[in-house]
Amino acid sequence: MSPAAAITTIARAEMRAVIRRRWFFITVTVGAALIVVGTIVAGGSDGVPRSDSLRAWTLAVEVIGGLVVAACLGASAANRDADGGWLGIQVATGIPRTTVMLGRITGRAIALVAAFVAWIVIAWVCGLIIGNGADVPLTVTGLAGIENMLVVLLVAALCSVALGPVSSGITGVLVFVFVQALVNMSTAADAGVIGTAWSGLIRGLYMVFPRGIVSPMVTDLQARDVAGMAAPRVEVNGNIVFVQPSSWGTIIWTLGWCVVLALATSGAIRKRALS
Amino acid sequence: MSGINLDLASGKGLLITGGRGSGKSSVLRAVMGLAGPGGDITVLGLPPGHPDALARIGWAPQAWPFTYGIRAEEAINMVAALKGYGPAEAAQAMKDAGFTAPSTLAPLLEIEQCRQLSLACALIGTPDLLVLDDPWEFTETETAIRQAFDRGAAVLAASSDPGGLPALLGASFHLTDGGRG
Repeated sequence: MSPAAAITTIARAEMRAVIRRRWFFITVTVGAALIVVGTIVAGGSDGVPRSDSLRAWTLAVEVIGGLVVAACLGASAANRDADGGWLGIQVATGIPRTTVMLGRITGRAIALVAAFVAWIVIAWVCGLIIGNGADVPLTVTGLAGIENMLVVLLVAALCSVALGPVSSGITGVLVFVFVQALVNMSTAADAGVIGTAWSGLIRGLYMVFPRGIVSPMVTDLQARDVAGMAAPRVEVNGNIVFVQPSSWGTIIWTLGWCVVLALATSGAIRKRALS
Repeated sequence: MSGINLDLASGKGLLITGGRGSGKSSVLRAVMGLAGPGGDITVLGLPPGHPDALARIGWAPQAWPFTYGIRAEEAINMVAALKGYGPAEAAQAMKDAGFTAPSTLAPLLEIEQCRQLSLACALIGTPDLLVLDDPWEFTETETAIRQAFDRGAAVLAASSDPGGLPALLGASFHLTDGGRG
């Protein structure tokens, strides 16, 4: 069997298994319900505030729900199935371990995308119902969220080769906080509102690590301070910092990191003891 | 583990016995290249874990190996596909193992059904070596072992409660604390 066919076969089985898990269903459903609640709240206002309200609610669901889904999907990518025997069954078919792990990661990444697609579609429908029309910026923000959460999933997956699910999930979330903070601090450094010594360090870290992806919609909501808890206004040393939308270079850089993390996870599984 | 020397020829069987934690499963996992001690191990003329060797082995792990959320038929269809077989061979393997609940989710399987499904995974195609960790003594297990011998395949099994398996497999080997007892 070719590697591509093996990855497809394993990814399909993996995706089916994870989307049936109770926590996945509950997280996606609660997220969808919160978007509906946000729509009802938004329906009480007109014009820009109405649009802002629905966008802020949807953004909150994508950030918080996305973190839950991504961290949980990544945190269980290897450890439990490696100890329980399922990963051993997959490897015992003769498919190389690296290919098996790529299939597993791919299946989980598809499940993550499926969760976001569900929320994006519901936000679209809700927007149409209250007369906001087709909200393209909200969709772009959803795509940016997928990339951000893909980093979380892959970091947690890499950790799951050696660590338990809780430690792996927490590490994934911490990396998300770190890369978002790097974006904010890098912008602050560019604006000259932090010390020169720190600016050099922050720019160096920003150049090396994956970067949080910021959509134009989030930038706009942040600038007007109407994004709510999912994207609060950035304030550094008493100065308001206006974070700019991510460039294509940043998007590609972070996607490159995703590829590196996926390959690292696949490589790491080669020495893992399996049951 | 130390001091273990095994040689299993085609068409022959070997049962590893011993209590919990004696190292039975570790020996099988070492043969499969999944984990366990190193040493000088050759399986079907290849190093343990070599993809070409694994493709010729039927592996039935112990306990409850199926991931939460997957249906039985999805699990065995995946194993069949990865070994180059189709749903027909998967269905035949389920029949040969006496498994009759293909649409059941793995966590809802009874332990007997789980052992049957594990056996079914090992029976897909015509493996040259069956490696059975804690096989239950179903009629189908005995039949599968006899059929393996008939076609010249070897059978390596491990069990802490061997019952009639030593007589069926023809040879046994007792482990105590990681060594020959």
